[in-house]
Amino acid sequence: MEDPSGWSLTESDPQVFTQLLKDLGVKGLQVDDLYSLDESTLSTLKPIHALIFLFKYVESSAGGAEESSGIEVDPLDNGVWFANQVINNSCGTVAALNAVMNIPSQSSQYSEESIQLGEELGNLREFGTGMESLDLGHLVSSSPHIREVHNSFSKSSPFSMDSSAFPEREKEDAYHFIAYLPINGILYELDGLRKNPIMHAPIEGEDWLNTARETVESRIGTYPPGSLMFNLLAIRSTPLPRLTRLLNDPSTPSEQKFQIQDQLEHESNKDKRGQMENTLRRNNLLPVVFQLFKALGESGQAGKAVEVARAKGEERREKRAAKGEGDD
Amino acid sequence: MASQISIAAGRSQRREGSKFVDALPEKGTLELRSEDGEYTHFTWKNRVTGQVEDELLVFPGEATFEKVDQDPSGRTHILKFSSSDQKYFFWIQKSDQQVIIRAQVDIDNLIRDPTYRIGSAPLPVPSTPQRPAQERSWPPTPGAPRLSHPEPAPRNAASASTPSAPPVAGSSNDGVMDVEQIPAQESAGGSGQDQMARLLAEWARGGGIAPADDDARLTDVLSPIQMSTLLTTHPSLIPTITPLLPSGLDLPPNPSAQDLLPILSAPQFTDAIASLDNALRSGGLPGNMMRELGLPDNAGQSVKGFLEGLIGLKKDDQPEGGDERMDED
Repeated sequence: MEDPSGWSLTESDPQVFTQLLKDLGVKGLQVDDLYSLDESTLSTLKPIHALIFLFKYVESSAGGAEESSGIEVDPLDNGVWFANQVINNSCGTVAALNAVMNIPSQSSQYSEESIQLGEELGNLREFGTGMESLDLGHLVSSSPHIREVHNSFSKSSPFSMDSSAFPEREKEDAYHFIAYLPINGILYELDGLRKNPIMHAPIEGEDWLNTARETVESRIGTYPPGSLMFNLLAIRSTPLPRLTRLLNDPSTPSEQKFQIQDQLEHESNKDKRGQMENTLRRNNLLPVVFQLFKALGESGQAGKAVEVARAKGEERREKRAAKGEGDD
Repeated sequence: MASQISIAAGRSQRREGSKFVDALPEKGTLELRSEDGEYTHFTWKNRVTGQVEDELLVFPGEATFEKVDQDPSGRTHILKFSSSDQKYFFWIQKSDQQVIIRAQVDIDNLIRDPTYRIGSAPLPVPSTPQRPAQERSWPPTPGAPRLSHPEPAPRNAASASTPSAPPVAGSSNDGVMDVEQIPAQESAGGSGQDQMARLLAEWARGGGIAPADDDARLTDVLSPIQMSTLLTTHPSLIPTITPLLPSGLDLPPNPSAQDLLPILSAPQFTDAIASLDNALRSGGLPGNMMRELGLPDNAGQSVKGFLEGLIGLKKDDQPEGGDERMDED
């Protein structure tokens, strides 16, 4: 909220993206962390409709490795919805929109399992038909609702979060978010800071993820080891309705039900945890923090706690000094 | 005619790789002598051994001698060369602010102009101490010295020896950190010097020229482990905390510590604590916010002030220290 652009930073947390999509009216999709591109990892998350690759350079010298394999193509000629990122900090939302705007709607006989863009984004897409990417970028960033949803996740710490005050904290604005997904049988890379979408390769065989895996892995491989921090998110079909249906379906073989039960429990715990964290993100937590500090003081435990924290801080400072860095 | 200045002063050392300046305890003398009006001979002599340990030739316009504003005692000064990045720190071993200011003005003028006549330059006009209302200091200017004493420093301390002298600018420069206002002493020397050196060293440890704050981070003070201890030893806290939590958290009607701890140790909570730490460290929070917590106004001005305020909240009056008994309330 404190950024002059009026857009706060997006946390690279899948639950934030899930809620973001939900609040924008998208149905049937959720976002999860992807810890590996192995077939076994991917299979538990399928169907997957898009990947969001977020990364930052650890060393600026790695910037030279920025060589993309694909070719830039005109989005309008190729039927790709592509918005440029025109506002600071909005890259997470822009990447999510670039992805979901290109995920085809799917209607299912089970209504909860349908994938729909929803009214708001549907209108936005219609309104933006034929627009250049730069104009789409401005269209997105001037939508009060999108901005409001985007910003709603950073209420828990109402003080200005000047990331420069956290030297060893990850500066999330240094992250960059890029979407990878298949559109009309071709793998695209949608990077809001590029002028155009990047066309990578035609999808061969059944699974677009095989093509995407090669592309993403070779991209990661272009950076020297240790110079890149990255995270992968998968935009996938929401599993809860499907798993619940399968569990209750008498035709599901009972030996499969145990596995489904496990998955369901895992997904629903994750969902609860995510909702709890999103609730915390969307509320001012300082009254609780103050109350806890006050109670700590009154309990007489503050002295000891401060002592322990000072020892920790001193250790940290000495370590920094040993590395020859300034203290300020 | 050669001009000469001599004043008791110790050296201060800039710590390698940092902006910290540590006052060294040795007693010494700064001596300046202009040579034929062409340059100034600038030396620092150890008063105990009598050895000249620093010797510099300063040509006109080559250097300045200025007070280091970040030092609340007003004693630390810097000899800075404009032609190179050489810097020398000294702390004047006198307690009278008038004497210190006179010395600074004379030394600065002499090294700029070796024909300068000692004592001829006017002392700086003391500025009216500017004390913005507590609330007006928010939002603060980053790095601006924070006022830890709400009322003006007593003037008589500095001007007592020379009653006719105007109030001294230096005396308004109190409290960047937590160093107490230095009590004026009758004369230089004696045990006061050692205490002074200790205070300066303390000040430097607290950050010196770089505006720094407590080593402790609030996220470590209110760590998940600490919260767990607090809630289990003081279960009566739970009903006061619960209503402050956002609704929609799906808590049971009478939550236990076990129900609350996963929430309180969630990363969003840690971030909220870190943002409070950041706000205190970068200039402070309004005093009325602190008053609501039962803390003194100045607790909002640094992490250190905040933590010390918290320690002061302890309900029984036993001195804090090795005593690890918990009070029952």
